[in-house]
Amino acid sequence: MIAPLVAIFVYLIYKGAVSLNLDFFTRNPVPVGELGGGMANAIVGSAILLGVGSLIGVPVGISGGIFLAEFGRGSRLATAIRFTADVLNGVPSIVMGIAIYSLIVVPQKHFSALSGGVALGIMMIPTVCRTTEEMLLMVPHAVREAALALGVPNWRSVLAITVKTASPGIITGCMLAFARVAGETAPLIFTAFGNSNWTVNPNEAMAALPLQIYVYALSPYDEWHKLAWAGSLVLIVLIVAAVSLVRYVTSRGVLKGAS
Amino acid sequence: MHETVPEAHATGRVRIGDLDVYNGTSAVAIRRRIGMVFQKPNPFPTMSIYDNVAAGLKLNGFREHKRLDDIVERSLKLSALWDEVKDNLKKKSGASLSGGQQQRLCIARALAVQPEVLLMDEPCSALDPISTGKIEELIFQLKESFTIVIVTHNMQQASRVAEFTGFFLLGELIEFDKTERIFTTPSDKRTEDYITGRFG
Repeated sequence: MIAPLVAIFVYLIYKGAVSLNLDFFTRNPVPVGELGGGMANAIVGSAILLGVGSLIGVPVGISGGIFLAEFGRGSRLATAIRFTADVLNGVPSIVMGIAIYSLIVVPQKHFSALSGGVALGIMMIPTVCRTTEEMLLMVPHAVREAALALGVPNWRSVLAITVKTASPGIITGCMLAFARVAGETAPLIFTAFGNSNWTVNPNEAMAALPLQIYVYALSPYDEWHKLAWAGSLVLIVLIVAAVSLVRYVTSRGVLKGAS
Repeated sequence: MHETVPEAHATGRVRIGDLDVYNGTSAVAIRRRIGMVFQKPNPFPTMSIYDNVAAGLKLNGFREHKRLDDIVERSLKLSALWDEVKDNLKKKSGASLSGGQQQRLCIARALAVQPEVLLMDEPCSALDPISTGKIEELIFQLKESFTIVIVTHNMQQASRVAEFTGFFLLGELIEFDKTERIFTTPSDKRTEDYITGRFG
């Protein structure tokens, strides 16, 4: 388990660290032939895309999971949702890209970060939904009983007690989904498209780290290959940083001796 | 609470004051008037000791924080836990306490919503003799101000803490009388068989 991870990391640092400098984080890409240039726009672009994706994927996924575990148990609707989530989980990301392309990009007549975010968000839903469901089902029956015995209505007991008790697991699920889509390239090719200029307007084509890495790595230029390595390193470090940050923030409220 | 178990059913009548429990009263309304303590201590694991006690009120929309402090303190004092936890009220999780303390925490949680009846379902069966002693002592104090219904498999416990005792066999109420009578001169043969140890 650890060996491949370490190998990837060491190789990335070996290849990528040499081209990492302040420019990489502060400058936009420059045309071929010019030296220097960075991926500032792609870093910000990735952040925006993932933000939009999480805004869609996390709430929809969590509500779906709550429904599956607490309200829809055994109902046909729940079976249908569970089946859909599993199928959605298996949809290849390139197919997701094309689907969003025809549903949003074509009617809009231009590429946009928004459509890319939607594609990423939909890809997050199944993971978030199923982990939420499983974490909720792991909450002991005694805890639910305790809440109901206090005369708390069922919906309130679910939201305030069961979901809260399962929240560490639910957050892990969200982080897994987040980390997974953070590196997705395929669904962005037809949606966010990529952009060599700086933009934060979600209605325009936008650069993203995985896209930039893809383009640079396929190019015939040595300078760009180096930047692609650096981009890969930054992408991984940023994912780890984002996940750790969320874990740190959410763990501050945990009490001594809480299980 | 049995409504969460699909196979369960009940016959007969249970009344609390003017409330007919099995006839058209909503489960939520009944649960607000009956506090319940379970067999296994079940504090909310992610909540502090304070929040555990305050949970019943907070979740039912009680928002006066000043009075909440008083209620939490009074409930914990009633359940004889205050002195052991007062320094860590908001710092420690309810799950960090010992089994006996957890059970007293659950009693405090049930008392905080000021029920008319406190229902205890074998509250000591998961506890050691010392913790059991503390809970029983507590029952003695609490029965001054609350009606307590306690389910137990332990006949000595029934004879120690109860004023009235009912004997159930296979879900049917066989006999209900003053505790001394049940344990000395029961009127039903099956009760006598049970208390003399011929079965069970």
